Amino acid sequence: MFRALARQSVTSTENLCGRIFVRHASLLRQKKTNTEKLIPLLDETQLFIPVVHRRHAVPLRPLNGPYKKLRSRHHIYEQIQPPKQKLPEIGVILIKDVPGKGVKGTRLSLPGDTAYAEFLAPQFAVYDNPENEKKYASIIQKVKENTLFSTITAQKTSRILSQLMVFFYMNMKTPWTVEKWHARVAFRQAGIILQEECIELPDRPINGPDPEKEGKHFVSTVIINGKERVPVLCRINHYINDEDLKLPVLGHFEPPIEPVFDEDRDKVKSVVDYRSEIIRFKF
Amino acid sequence: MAHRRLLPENKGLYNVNPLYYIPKPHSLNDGIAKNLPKAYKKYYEELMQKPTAVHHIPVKEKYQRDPETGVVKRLQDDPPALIYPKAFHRGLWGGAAVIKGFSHPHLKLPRIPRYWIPKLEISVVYSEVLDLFITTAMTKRTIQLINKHYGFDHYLLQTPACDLRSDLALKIKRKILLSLDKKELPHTDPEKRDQVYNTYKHYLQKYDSEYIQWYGLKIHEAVQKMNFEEEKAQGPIEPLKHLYRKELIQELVDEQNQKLEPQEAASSEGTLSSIFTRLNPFKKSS
Repeated sequence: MFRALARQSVTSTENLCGRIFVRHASLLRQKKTNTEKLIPLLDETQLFIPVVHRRHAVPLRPLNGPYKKLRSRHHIYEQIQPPKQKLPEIGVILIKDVPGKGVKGTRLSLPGDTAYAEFLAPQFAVYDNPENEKKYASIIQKVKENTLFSTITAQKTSRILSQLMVFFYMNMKTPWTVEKWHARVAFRQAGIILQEECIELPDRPINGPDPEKEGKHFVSTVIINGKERVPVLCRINHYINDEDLKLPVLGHFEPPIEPVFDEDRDKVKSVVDYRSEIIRFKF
Repeated sequence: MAHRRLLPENKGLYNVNPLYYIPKPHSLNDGIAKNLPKAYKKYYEELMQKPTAVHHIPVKEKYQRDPETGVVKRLQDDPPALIYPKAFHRGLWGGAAVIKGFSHPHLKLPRIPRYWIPKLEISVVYSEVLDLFITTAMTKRTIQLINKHYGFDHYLLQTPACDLRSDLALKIKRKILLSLDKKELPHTDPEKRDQVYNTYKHYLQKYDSEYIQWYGLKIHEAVQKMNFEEEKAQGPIEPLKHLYRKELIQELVDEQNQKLEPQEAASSEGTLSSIFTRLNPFKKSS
């Protein structure tokens, strides 16, 4: 018997290297089906799950009759694999402000996967269907008439600026009043480079050195693209190069947060509260 | 083996003579489950319907004519055999399942056994009626279907049970239907509660209130529910010791009364006449 097998393996010249034993010669006549032709027949929802095609057709059964017992060859399948692609796009209306993406009322069209994960599941947006279009008509028109932000990135930069606290390091011995070039340097130390025209300081001048103003806060505004006005919290720290006279510096937003002038107490508090609201949007 | 020949499977008599029809044994046809109400059997029929084609390209036409020769050929739809594992019932796979079979990429080599499994990702769904976030394993097909129906609740309420199939989806659908039917939504804000109820109100026309109570149950759960309702209809069970105690007290009271009566009777009438009245066989039984 082994001799016969060996002879077969030698004689079957079509085999790979002429050594592999072919079990069913009859199956060699079968051809693979061209699965690429079947790809356009697929449904839209069938693109991302395994879809399968029988190589050997099942024999006909009587009308409305029972299934016949299948042979093992009927369980041979070929997978229909469409090329890699993104999910088809769907429309979305924002209900809340999402920094970097848009203001509430903007319409976006995104691939269905990302739209669901980033906007619809956390309830930042709703589907763009005729019912919702009626419901949120007032917000949509407001955005159409006048975009609240000059650019999409302006919203994101305003978010970053509002979370910032800028330290003004002032001299402990020589007298000074806070000016625009002081602010420019302070912002640069915080990691933001801007021109002096973009900064607005409070109207009442701040003079020093004054030990009562140590570690106290005031609010300055930054103007983006000549349109958006973002309030930024600033703190005064007295500085000297002598190691013995140096004062300790508290961290960012570390209490107590108190104003330089008592008039600005509400203004400072509102900025701190607004910051805690915005931090929830993390992307 | 005469009886085997009579079976419809062995003879070509499927539609010809209904006398030969022998129904297959099923747990709904005999046993305790035979007494289940019609509403449950209606739901079970919905569950056992033929689902939509997911893992193969369906053949919708019954016949096909060859354009060259003109010969008519009969067609049939045979879907691949699917497996529904335990993890399928814990997640929302959107009708996708596991395929078991062989792949045969190289014709000159032997075929290889293979399982085709859909890609799963853990994601979140939000049910507006129940006001609930649920994290489960999902496929991309589920997300596509949710987007197609504009929301998770609409997707559940519009698709039949045979397409949902998984236990988790059917249980959530049952909860949604029950809360809509009783009008008990968990929202704290009364304005939003009315708004949500009005958007999903029109689905109650499709589902009857009796049908909802039996919706989404398995057979053993339905039997449990049926038994529970029967017990409830009978009322609370009284222990036998209370009943026997009552009887005993009644007997003692009767005995005492009987002792008193003959004394009174003896005092009023003569002793002889009372004996005759007892022995008289022609006396009318009162």
